Formats: sequence, structure tokens, C-alpha cells
Amino acid sequence: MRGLILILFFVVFCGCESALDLDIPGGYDSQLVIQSHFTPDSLWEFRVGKSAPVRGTIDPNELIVPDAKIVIFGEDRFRETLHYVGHGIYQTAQGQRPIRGISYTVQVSATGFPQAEASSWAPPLKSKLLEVKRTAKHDSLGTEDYELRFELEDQPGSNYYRMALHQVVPLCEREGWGIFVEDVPGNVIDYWRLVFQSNSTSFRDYIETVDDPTIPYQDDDFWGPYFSDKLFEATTKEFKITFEATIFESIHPHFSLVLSSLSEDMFVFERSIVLHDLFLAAPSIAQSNPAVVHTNVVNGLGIFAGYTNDTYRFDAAGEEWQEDVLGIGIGEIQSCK
Amino acid sequence: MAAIRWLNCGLLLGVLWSTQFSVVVAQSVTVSGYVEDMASGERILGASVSIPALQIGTTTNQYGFYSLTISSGSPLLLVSHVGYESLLNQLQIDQDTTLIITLIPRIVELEDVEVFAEGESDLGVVQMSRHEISIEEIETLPVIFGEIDIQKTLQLLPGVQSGLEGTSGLYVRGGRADQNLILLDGLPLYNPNHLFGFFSVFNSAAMKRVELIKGAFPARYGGRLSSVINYTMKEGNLKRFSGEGAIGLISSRIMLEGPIVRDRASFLVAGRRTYIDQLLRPFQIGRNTRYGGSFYDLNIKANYVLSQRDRIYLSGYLGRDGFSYKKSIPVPDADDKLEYDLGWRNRLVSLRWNRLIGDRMFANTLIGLTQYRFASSTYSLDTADSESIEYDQLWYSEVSDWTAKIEFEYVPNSQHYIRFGAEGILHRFTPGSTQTRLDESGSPPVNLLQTPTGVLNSQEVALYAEDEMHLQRVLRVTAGIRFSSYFASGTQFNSLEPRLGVNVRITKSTAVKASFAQSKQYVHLLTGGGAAFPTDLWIPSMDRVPPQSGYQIAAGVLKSFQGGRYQVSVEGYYKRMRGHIEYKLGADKYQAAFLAWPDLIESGKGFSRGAELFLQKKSGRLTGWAGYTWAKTTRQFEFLNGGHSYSDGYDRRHDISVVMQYKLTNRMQLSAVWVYGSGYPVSVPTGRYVIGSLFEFGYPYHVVESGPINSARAPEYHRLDMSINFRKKKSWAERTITLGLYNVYNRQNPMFVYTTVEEVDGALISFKKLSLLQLIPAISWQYSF
Repeated sequence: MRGLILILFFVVFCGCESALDLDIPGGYDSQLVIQSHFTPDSLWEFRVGKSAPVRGTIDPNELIVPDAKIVIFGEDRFRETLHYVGHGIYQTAQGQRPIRGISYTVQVSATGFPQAEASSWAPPLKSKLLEVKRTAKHDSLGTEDYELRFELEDQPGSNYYRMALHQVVPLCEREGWGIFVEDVPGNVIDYWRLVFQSNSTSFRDYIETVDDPTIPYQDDDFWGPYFSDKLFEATTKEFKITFEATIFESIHPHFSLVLSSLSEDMFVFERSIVLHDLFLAAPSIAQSNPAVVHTNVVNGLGIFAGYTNDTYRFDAAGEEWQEDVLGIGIGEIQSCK
Repeated sequence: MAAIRWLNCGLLLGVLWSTQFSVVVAQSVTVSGYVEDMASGERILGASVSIPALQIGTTTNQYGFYSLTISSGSPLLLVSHVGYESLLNQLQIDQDTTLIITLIPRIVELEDVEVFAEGESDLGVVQMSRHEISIEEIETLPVIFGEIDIQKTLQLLPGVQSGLEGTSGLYVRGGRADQNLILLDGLPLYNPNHLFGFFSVFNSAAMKRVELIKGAFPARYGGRLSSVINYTMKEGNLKRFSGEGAIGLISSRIMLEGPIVRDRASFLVAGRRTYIDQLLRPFQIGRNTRYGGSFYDLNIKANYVLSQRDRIYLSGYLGRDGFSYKKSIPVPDADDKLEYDLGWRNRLVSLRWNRLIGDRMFANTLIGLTQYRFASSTYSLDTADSESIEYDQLWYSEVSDWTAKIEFEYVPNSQHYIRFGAEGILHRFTPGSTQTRLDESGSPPVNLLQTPTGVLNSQEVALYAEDEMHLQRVLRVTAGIRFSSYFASGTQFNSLEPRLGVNVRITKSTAVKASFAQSKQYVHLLTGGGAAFPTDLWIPSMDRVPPQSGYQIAAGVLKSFQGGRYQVSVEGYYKRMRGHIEYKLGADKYQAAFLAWPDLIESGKGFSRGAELFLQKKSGRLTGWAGYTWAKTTRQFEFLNGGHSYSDGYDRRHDISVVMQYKLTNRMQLSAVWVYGSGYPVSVPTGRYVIGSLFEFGYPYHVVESGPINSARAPEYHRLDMSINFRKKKSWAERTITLGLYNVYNRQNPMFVYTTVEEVDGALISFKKLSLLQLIPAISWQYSF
């Protein structure tokens, strides 16, 4: 009987996936693709490429635009024309950085494309680290428990935030378990991420659920949550988190707390990327509308959006430390022995 | 009509005379009453009552009532209905008379089987774009898994699209699923789906009649833009106990009916249940993970004959779907659990009183409640070190309607048939509500109640009047007006809706018809995709969500051949709609049900036009129909698709259905259905680009660039289904065995069309289709006694 039922279910529900040759009506006009996620902590940098028809195989290098002219305006004043450094990347020649709270507009022109334009800012961020304290030490486990408090002074209007907690990790540990922080793919920058706990009803590890009020305590372990100010609009909000850190022999616990304020375009863009991933990952019902990756570029595609970081580096005693003193970022981080 | 046999008057039985009203009209008299089934005592709907010599006639209404005004004298009265012996009787009347007519069920013969109730009388009916299919015929057509489904048969009619393959969705003349007024014994049903739309909730064993009006419906119907689908349940046999039962691959059903007090009161109970969960059970014994799903429905009806003029009906329906996933995680000294459940239910109950007032007026009074609720829940229990975290969350949406209506039908003379009435509905919507409970060791329990809008109460009232006028022998006009008013949260919407129908009988066998109707709809279905997901939210009109409104103009020609053996109709329609709601671009539709959805929707327009050809063969060994539809439907929203109009998701340019039933012998019948449809629109990407060094991702990422909405077309759809029915009389019952094949030639029709991104020498983006419902055999047994 079981066999019969199995056969029946197989016959009925066996799905058959096959390639489909769809006629896509109309031609395709390639557009400029601009990408810059700027922050006052970094120099101005852009990637400029172009889009291509969806069909066929294309080498991503063919999508680079090396002859673009990129002009940046800050609060309607000319600031700089960027220069090309290769691989589709344009950088500041004058060492200019964005300034938080200033609204910027970028104009990008290239042969064969209409001029593209976008505007954004690195939103203001007012935060304060209030207290760090070690609450327990587990010698047998080689771990320590900490409690940390910080506050955010929320500005009027819709604001989106993100936070991450890192611990400096010695070289020998980087082959083991852990989520290591990279600045570019494959390049670990001496930290790993710490999981932490919080009773904040705003935190969401998954950006697509940030505005969803229905998942408050489902997951109180966070890796790098996003949150909005819906629950503390225009007030100063205090947060408390707890976490467990590993004790390394070669280096005492050093931590980095990164609080970010994201421009709305940045937040919407990142969320749309996640939805786009979901859209492509699952068979979509033919009649549903596609997930569209957000763009704020007029006459083009891509994103020009700013964010602001407040970074707090503290050790087990709550004392501030500097990366260069510890050798971080210059290849001098302590090895295990 | 050739198919109607003129019987010897001596054979005519069951005429009850009851002279009730003594007002003598100088030139004309009125004969009114009910037409009933002699075997069961049930009222017969749609029976033709006519005086052939005078070429006047009428049909019984939804409650079996008729009224005919004629010159006094001794005319011959002809009463006929499909499945019954026709009745011919010479009247002797000189005053208004109440006449209860009983018809004898026909013993089916090989050569002369009528299938349609419409008959030649369609030529004289003003209402156009109307179909009625007998339940008996629906029960013999091939269907997926052998599960009889009335709605899926309606999909085979021209102007009706089915949506996702295998589901019972109805999209009528460019309308949406929420624009169908689905009535069960006069009350609306909000979700007509079982098993995510793969089956409809209507148990054919409990149904007496289904009627579909595809547009320009009369003034007595309102509150929806596209169609009326009118289901009438059987009343319950007043004469004897009877019933039927069926066993199928997925579900079984049973129906019992009989007298409570013979000729005075009767009941009907019908139930249906799937055993998918039972089939899965053997595979889950001893496993930590279990899943299951099932549905059931229950129809009840009772009626009580107060007098020849009064009858009371009680109707009820209860249907429920439930699906679950349960996982237990055995850990030492603990029992961690994770459980997901989702389900939905429809509940409906109504009390109806039919009364004959004098000989010219009929009244129907109804009060009732209809309720739809969808709920999903999550439960988890984590234990460790004698501590535990218990999490329980319930999300639900609900709509409840209390309805009261009174309808009158008044026949002052042979030139006028007047209907008027009033209706009031109290709506109570809960479009999404979440209850969360967290119980953690060492902490006080946390209880949260969150809802985007809270409970929304609204009130809808409507008044209507319509008159079917026989202006000349060849000209009939129905003119009606409906006024409705809707109150919600301090906002009021009013609507005045004219309705007009014209029938010009240009020859004895040809009629030209035209109609116009304007209508307004105060409820919306907010849906995330093409499928009929139960999570779709029913929401009321409010200040931010205006009502839907629209109008339809239709015209057509109807012609019968060979005395009604063949009938062909051609109709064209033009339809405009406003107030469609749709999610804004970029809204996460699957999360939106939990969010503040009012901020995520926008309102737009719809436009549809089409032509339909419908050819029927109504009698003989071979019966059936062929339908062809050409249609074009578009939508337009300010912030979708750049503000440009785009094809609706169910815009199918060409659609063909061929339905044939061939009677091999008196005991064997072969049925076949072939459908063809040009491809549904699909949204596909047109471009792609690469982004890299993202804030979060830090690696090159391939983005597909969305093209215009629904700019491409999925492959065409076609499919052949066949079944054969074997009937055998047993000593106690009639047994029917049905063998069926769905998708006989195993066509791999696309159920889903999607885009894939594969890293092969750069980014290669391709389109794929998933075909689920391929060749599926079916078998079922049915007993009727």
C-alpha cells in the first residue's frame, strides 16, 4: 500500500522544470550604473558601469565604463571632479571626504549615455557609549560576559540604523569558527563578529523585517541588526546589550562597537537587494510583480547613498584604544604566540 | 421547441389548485405560485411557465416562484424544465389564482437528453451573459483527481479565466477574484477555496443549481463589479429519505436528505473530507518531524412549509482547511518543540422566509451571517538548564458580515415584472492582527497585541428597483436602479447605479440583446500574487482606500437552430473599472500582511474588452459546448510601471474550451474537455548589471533589471481531460464508477515561470518553467439512493 501511495504521489506531484524561451518584446537600451556608498570615514569613491540585455553571457569586465566624468556638488556648490583609477573605479584626487549632514549631488556623464544624476547625504548621528562592564568570567570556558549600554539621540523623521559588535581576533584563530570582518572579499581586517543579546524590540537581523512589529522576541541573539526609530521617534533612546567574549592568550579582549545611521536610500536599497535575492531564489508565481532593486539615479541605475558611523573601541576595562596602537589595519596584529 | 414532448394531458399529474384571491380583473387574470418536484417536494428554479398559443411566458425565480398574467379563458399552460417531464394543462380560470405545479422527474432516455435549462427560453430572457449548468452535467465532466468541482466547470465558459493551473479561481471578463459576488443561498462567501485554491468549497452533492452572470447584472445584485455566481442548495426531500455518497482519491463525500415531517418539513446534510493527512500518516510514524493537511466542509439545510404561501428555510455551511508542521527536538531532560499551523474557515448561516402575498407578489426575507477567518500560528519551546522559553504567536485576519434583506417581486400585469427591495450589511473586518506571548523563566510573561488597523466596522445599505417590461411582442426591456451607501470610520460613500437590458426578438429563433450596468464595490482583496493565497487580506473601503467602481456595456446575438437543439451566441463587451488596489512597487508582499498595509498600497484603473462565441448542442447522444473568447485586459497605476498601462496578470488573448459528452449506452457516458489558452503575461527582466563593494555584501552582485510589468508571455496552454462513467442500478442504489485522466497527452504546461541566475562564464540569466500537473489518473465511486 505504501508503495502504491508513493507511486501515486510521484505521478501527481512530480514537478518538471525545463528551460523556457520567452520572447522579450522591444529592444534594450543600456544605462549607466552608478554605485557609491559614501561615509565621512572614507574618501570619495564611485564605481561606474553599464547595464546589458538580460540574455546571454557577458564578461563583467565588458560592463565597466572607463571614460565617465563624475562631478560632485555639495549643497549646490561644485566640490570635485573624480578621476579614474581602473576597474571601473573613480576616486577623489584631492583627498576629499563626505561630511556628515551635508546633501550631495553627483552628475555622471559618459559617451553614449544621457547624463545621470543622484542625490543623497550621510545623515547626522548622535550617540554615546554610556557604560561597559564585565559581569562574569568563565575560566573553564575561556570566556567573559559583558554588559554594554549606549544611547542614540534620534532626529525627527524616519531614520534607520544598524549596529555591529566586533572583537579583535589574533591571526591563528582566523582558520577556525567565527564570522570574520572583511573590508573587501577575502581580506580579514583583524576582527570577528560577536553575537549579542538585547531586549530591544526594534532590532532585526533581517533587514526585510525591520518594519515588522510582529517578531519582537523571536530571536534575541543578534549578529548585526538593523532597526528603525519607529518606537523612539525623535527621542533619546538607551540600549543595553550583553555579550560573551573569548579570552585569547596573546591579546586581551578589545572590542569595537559600530553604530551606523543609514540614509533612507541606503536602507531601501539594501532591503531591495534582499528581496531581489528572495525573488530570484524561489520560483515566483508568474503573475506576481518582480522585486525591483531600488535606485535613486535619474537617467541611470544603481545607488548613491550615504551613511554615518560612530565607532567605539573599548577594552575589557571600558578604556578606549586606537587601532594603530594595536597594529590593526597595518598587518601588525598579534599572532597567537 | 422540438425537444419538449407534448404529453397527453391525461398523464399530467400533480396540479394543485388553490384559489386564494377573489379580485376579478376585467380583462386579465394572474396565475401564480410555485413549481415543485413531485418526487421530492423541492421547488424548481428556472422552470419555464408559458402559454404557447399567446407566446407569453415566464420562468420560475430563484425560489421556484412564478407569476403569469393572461386573458381569462381556457388557455393551454406549458410547464417545462430540464430533467422533468413537460406538463401541458388546460387552464379554466376567470380570476386570479394560486397554482402549485408539480413536475415529474424524467427517466433519462438515450436519444433525447436535454442538458441546459436555458432552452429556447433564453431567446425571450432579457438578461444576457448568463449561464446555468446542471449539477448532473458537472458531475460527469472529467476533473483533476476526480474531484467534482463546480467552479472548475464554470472556468470552461467563455469570458472566464481560471488563473493558476489546477485551481478553481474565476476571473470574469477582466475582473479580479474579489469582484465575483459568490452567493450561497443568498449570502456572500468570501473565500471559495479549499487546499490553496485547488478545490472549491462547493460540494456538488448539496447543490441544486449554479448560475453565472458575467456582467451587467440586474439591480437586485450589487456590491461587486464583475460577476454574480449564484449557488442554491438543495432543500431536502419532503417525500422520502434519499442520499448519495462518493469515494475518491483525495476525498469522500456524503449527502443525506429526507422528511422530518412528510410534506411539511425536511432536512439535508452533506459533508466532505479529505484524507491527505491520513495518507501521509504511515510515513511519519516515529519521526520527530510531522506535517499534515486536510479540509472538510459541511452543508446543512432545513425547510418548513408553514402554508402553501409560506415556507421557511435554514441554510448553513461550515468549511475548514488546516495544515501543520510539527517538530520535536529530543534533548536530554527536555522536549523542545517547534510547531507551525495555518488554516482558514468559512462559516455561513441564513434564515429565509418566502411568502406569497396575494397572487401577484412574492416576498423573500433573509437574515444571515457569513464569516471568513484565516489564521497562522507559531509555537516554540526551548529548554536548557532547567530554564525554558515558550513563544506563541497567532496571526489572523477575519471578516464577518451580518446581512438582512427583503426582496419583493410584483407582477401587476403581463407587461411588467417588478422587483424591488432593500439590503443592509454590517461588516466587521480585522485585516491582520497578531497576538504574541513570551514566557521566559525568570521573567514575567510578555503579551502583545499588534494590528495595523484594528477592527474596522462599516455599514452598507442598498435599495433597488427594476422592471422587466414587455413593451411589444418583440421588445423586452429591463430597467433598474440601485442606490447604495457605505459608512466607514466617519467616511461615507454613495452610489447610484443604473442597469439596463434590452432584448429584441428579431425572428422566432433569433434575439439581439444589449445591456449596460454601473456598479460599485466597497470591499477589496489585497493580494500578493496570482494564486489565491489565504493570506490575502479582505479590507474595507475607507478614506485611504476608495471603493471600486465600474461599468460594462455588452451586446450580442443569440440564435437557436433545429428547434433549440443547437444554440449559438456571440457577445461583445467593454468594461472600465476604477479603484483596484495593488501593492506599491518594492513592497514586500509576503511581509506586508503583517505590516501597516495601508501605507503600501495604491489605487488604479482597469480596462477590459472582449468578444465571446458560445456554441451549444443541447440534446441527442452527443451534447456539449464550444466556447471561444478574445479578450484584452489592462491595468494602470500612477506609480507602477512608470504610470503606463500594462496587461493584467490574467489577460489571455485567445481562449478556447470544448466540452463534449457522448452517451455510449444508457449506462456508459464518455466525457472530454479540451482547453486552449494563449499565454498569460509574465514580468521578466530585460537587463542586468553588476554592483560590487556593497556596504553589507562586499562582493560583486548581479542585479536583474525589471522590465515593464507583464510585458512577456508565458507559453500557450492546452490540455485534454477525459472520463468515462459507468452507471449500474443496484437493488438499493445506483452506482456510478468514474475513471478519468487529467492532461491526457501529458502536456507540460507552465505553472510557474521564473528567472534563474547561474554563474557560468560570467552571469547567465535564463528563464525556466515548472510544470506540476501532468498526466493524472483518477477513479471514484458514487452511490445514489
